[in-house]
Amino acid sequence: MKLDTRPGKMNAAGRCGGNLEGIRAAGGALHIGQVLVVNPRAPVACAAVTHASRISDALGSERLIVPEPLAYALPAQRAALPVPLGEPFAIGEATARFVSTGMAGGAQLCIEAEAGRMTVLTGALAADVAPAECELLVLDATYALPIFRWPSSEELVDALRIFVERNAEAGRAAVIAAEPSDEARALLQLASRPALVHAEVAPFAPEAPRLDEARKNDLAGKLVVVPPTALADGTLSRIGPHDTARASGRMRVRGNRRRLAVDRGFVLSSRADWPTLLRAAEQSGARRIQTFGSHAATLARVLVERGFDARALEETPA
Amino acid sequence: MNRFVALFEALDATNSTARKVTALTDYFRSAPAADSAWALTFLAGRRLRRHLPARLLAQWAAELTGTPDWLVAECWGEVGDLAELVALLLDTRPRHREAAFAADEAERLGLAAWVEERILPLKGLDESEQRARVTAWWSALSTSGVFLLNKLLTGEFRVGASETLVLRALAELADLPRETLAHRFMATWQPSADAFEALIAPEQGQVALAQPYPFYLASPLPDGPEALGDPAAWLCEWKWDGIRAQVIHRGGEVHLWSRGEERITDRFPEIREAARALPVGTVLDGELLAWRGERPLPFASLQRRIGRLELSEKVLAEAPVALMAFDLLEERGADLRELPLRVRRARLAALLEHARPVLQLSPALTGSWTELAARRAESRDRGVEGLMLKLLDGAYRSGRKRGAWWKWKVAPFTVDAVLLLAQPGSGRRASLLTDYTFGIWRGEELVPIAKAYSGLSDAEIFELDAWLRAHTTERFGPVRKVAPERVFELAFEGLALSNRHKSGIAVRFPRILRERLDKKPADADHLEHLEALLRATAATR
Repeated sequence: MKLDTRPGKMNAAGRCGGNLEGIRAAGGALHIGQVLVVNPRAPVACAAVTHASRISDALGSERLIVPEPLAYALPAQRAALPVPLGEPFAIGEATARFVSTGMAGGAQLCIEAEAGRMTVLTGALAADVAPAECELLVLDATYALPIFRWPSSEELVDALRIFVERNAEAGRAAVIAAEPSDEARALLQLASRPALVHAEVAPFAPEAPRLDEARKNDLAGKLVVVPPTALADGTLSRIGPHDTARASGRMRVRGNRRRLAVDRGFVLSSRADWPTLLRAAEQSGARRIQTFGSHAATLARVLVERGFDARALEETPA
Repeated sequence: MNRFVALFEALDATNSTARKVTALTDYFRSAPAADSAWALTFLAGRRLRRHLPARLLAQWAAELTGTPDWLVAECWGEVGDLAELVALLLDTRPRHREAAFAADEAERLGLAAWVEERILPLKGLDESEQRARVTAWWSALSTSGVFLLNKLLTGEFRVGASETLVLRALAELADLPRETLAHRFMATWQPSADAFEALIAPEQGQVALAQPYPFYLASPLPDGPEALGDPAAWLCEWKWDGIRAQVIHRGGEVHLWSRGEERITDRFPEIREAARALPVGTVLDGELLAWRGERPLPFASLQRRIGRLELSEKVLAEAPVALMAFDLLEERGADLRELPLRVRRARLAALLEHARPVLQLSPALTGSWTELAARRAESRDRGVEGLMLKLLDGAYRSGRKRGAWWKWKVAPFTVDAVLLLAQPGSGRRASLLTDYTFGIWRGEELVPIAKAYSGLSDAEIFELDAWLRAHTTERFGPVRKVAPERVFELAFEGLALSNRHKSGIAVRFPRILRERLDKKPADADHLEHLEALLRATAATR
C-alpha cells in the first residue's frame, strides 16, 4: 500500500473549500456538497471516515479525518491526527464533530452548517445511545428490513463459545470469516479467547498471533479469524481439520449462509439493524431523514408511513 | 418437538455428511419410534398434504407484527422462503418468554403428537380457528421451531438431509444393508411406530407384493468409452427417452412403478395385460415409450398418457405404448439382482420370446468403440438420447452407483439467444436474479423461447445479477426487463409445436451452456432455425 505521508496533508484542522449544499450517495460513500466525502471508496480531496473498515479505501486522500476511536486501524507509520470525539473541526464554512455511537468501531458525524445541523449515522448504535440531535438525519439502510435484527451480545458470546468448544472437542479448528475491520475486531472481542488471525485481519488485532506464522498441527482446537476471501482462495486447505463460519448481518438469512457453503453463520454487523434504524429516527428529533444503501427506498417509505419527512438519497455512479 | 428441532439444527450446522449421519443416528436411537417415523418421513422429503398455504402464514405473521404487505413482499425478496420469512418476522419477542408453560409443553410434545394431534386436525377447521391455533403454537416455539413448524404446515419440508442420507443412518443403526432399507422404505410406506420398528427390524426375507426394487441409475460417461476397456465386456443399448419403470407381476396382480416411485399401472393398460401373461413372480425393468411401428414417438405423446385422469379411447389409439425391457430383477419369485447382467439378460431374452409385442427386448448393439460411436451418431434420427453401456459382469445395484452403468448421451440441440427478462430464484438463490428468459429473432422482434435456471457458476450468477440490476429497463413485480445485450448459448433436448408459447415452439429441458461473449444480439438465432430443426426431427419420425 502506497501511503501519502507528507506532513500536514492529513491534518484534521486543515480546511476544505466549497459548500455543503446537497448530498448524494455513490456505492456506499456519501458526497456532501462539493466538499466532503464520507467513507469514500478511493482517495479524494477531503474524506471523513466513520467506520474502521473504510479507512484503507480512504488512505491517500489529501485530507483524511478519522475519529479517535478508529485510530487503531490507521497504519502505524502514518502521521495522521485522529480527532477526539466531540472536538470541533472545520469543513468548508461548517463546523463538524464526531460523536460516540457506543460501539467500538464507529462514530456519528455531526455537521453544523448555516442551513442547520446534520447527523450522519452509518453504523450500529449501542442500545443506550441516541443519535445526536439534528434537523437532518442521514441513515445507512443496508439492513433496513424487519427481518434484520441482531442478537444480543450475550447470545453471540454463547454461540461463539459453543462453536469453538465443540470443534475443539473434535480436534478441529474453528474458522470464522469476517470483514477485516471493526467486524473482525468485534468478533474477536466477543469470542474473548486467544485466536489466530489471517494477515489481512492482523491490523485489527495487533496482539493476536498470525495464521501464516503458525504450524498446521498447532491449529486444532483454535479459533482462526480470516477475511471472507479466504473461504475461496485455498487458505483453508492449509489449516487442517476445521469447521467454517461466516460472521455478517446477511447470515440472518439461511439461504445466504448456504450459498457460501459454510457450516455456521453468526449474525454480527457493525451496521444498524431494523429496530436501531427506527429508534434512531424517533430519537434524533430530526425534521428530515435521508436514507442510502441497499434498502434506502424501503426505509424511506416506512418512515414516511410513520409521519417523517423521509426520502432515499439519489444513488449516482461513483 | 425440541428433539426434532435440535436434530434440524445439528443437520443445518454442518456440511459434513459423516456428521449429519451421526446426528441422525443419535436422533433415531433416542427418539420414540412414532417420532422417528415422522422424522424419517419429513427428512426423506415425503410431505404431508399441504395444510395451509404459505401466503396465509405470511399474512398472519404480517398482522401479528403490524408489517404492511408491501414490506413483507420486500422481505420475501431477500429471504426467498416464506416459512423462514415468517419465523424471522416473528422473532421480535423478548428472549424471556412469558408463555413459559406453553413453551415447555410445546417443546416436550413429541413430533408424532405434534403432527397427529395438532397439525393433521387443522384440516377442516375454519380459517379463524386455524389462525388462533397456529399463532398460539408460534408464540411457544423458538425461531428454529417456528421455521420447522411452518415447513410442516406448508408441506414444503426439504431441509437438512436427503433420503439417501437418512437411509444410510438407519442402515447403520439397524445394521442392515442400505438396499434393504431402501427396499422397505418405498412409496407406500406410511409413518407409524409399528412401521418404523418393522423398517429397522432384522431381515425376514419377505417382500410386500406390490413393492418395486430400488432403481439402479446410470451415471454420465465422463470421458470417451475407451477408458472402459474391451467393448466385449459391456452391453451396449440405445438410451431410450421415455419413462423408466418397473413392471411387477406378483400374486396375480400387475403393478407399474415409475422411477419417481409413482404407481402408474392405470396409465398403461396394454402393458398391464401383457405382463399378466408372464409367469407369476416376474419383475422387469425398462423404459415406457410411446411407440408406433418400429420407432418411438416424441416424448410429448407419452405425456398425454400421464397428464389426464381418464384415458380415452382416442388417447390410447393416438399414443400407443411399448415397454422396452432391459433387465430382469425377479424370476419366479427369486431375486436375481446379485446375478451378473449377462445371466439376467439371457433369462430376460428367453422370457420375452413368447411375450406380447408391447413387451420388447431392448436390442443389444455390438462392435468396436469406433463402430459404436458411429451408431450413437444415429441417435437423433432414431429418436433416442444416445447409448447405454452396462458391465456384463455387474450386479443390479441401487441408486446412482458409478462404475457399472454409464449413459453416453448425444450432444443436445443448441441455440444462441438473447437475455430478455430476469427474476429472483427461490430457496438458496432467493436474493439473486437467477431465473432468466431468453429470446430469439422473429423478423425484427425478439420472442421469448425458453426460461433457463441452471448452467452458470456462482461467480457468473453474481456478476450477471449486478449487471441485470444496473440494466433494468422496466419492472413488472419481481420480473425485470433488461436491455437486450447479452447472448447465451442454450442447450435443450427436444422441440415440440406449442400453441401456449408465443414463439409457437416449446423446448424441452433448456439450460445455459455458456455466454457467447463473441456474439452481439444481432447474431442470435432466428426462429426459422428452430422451425427447421423441428421439421427435420419430425420428418425422421
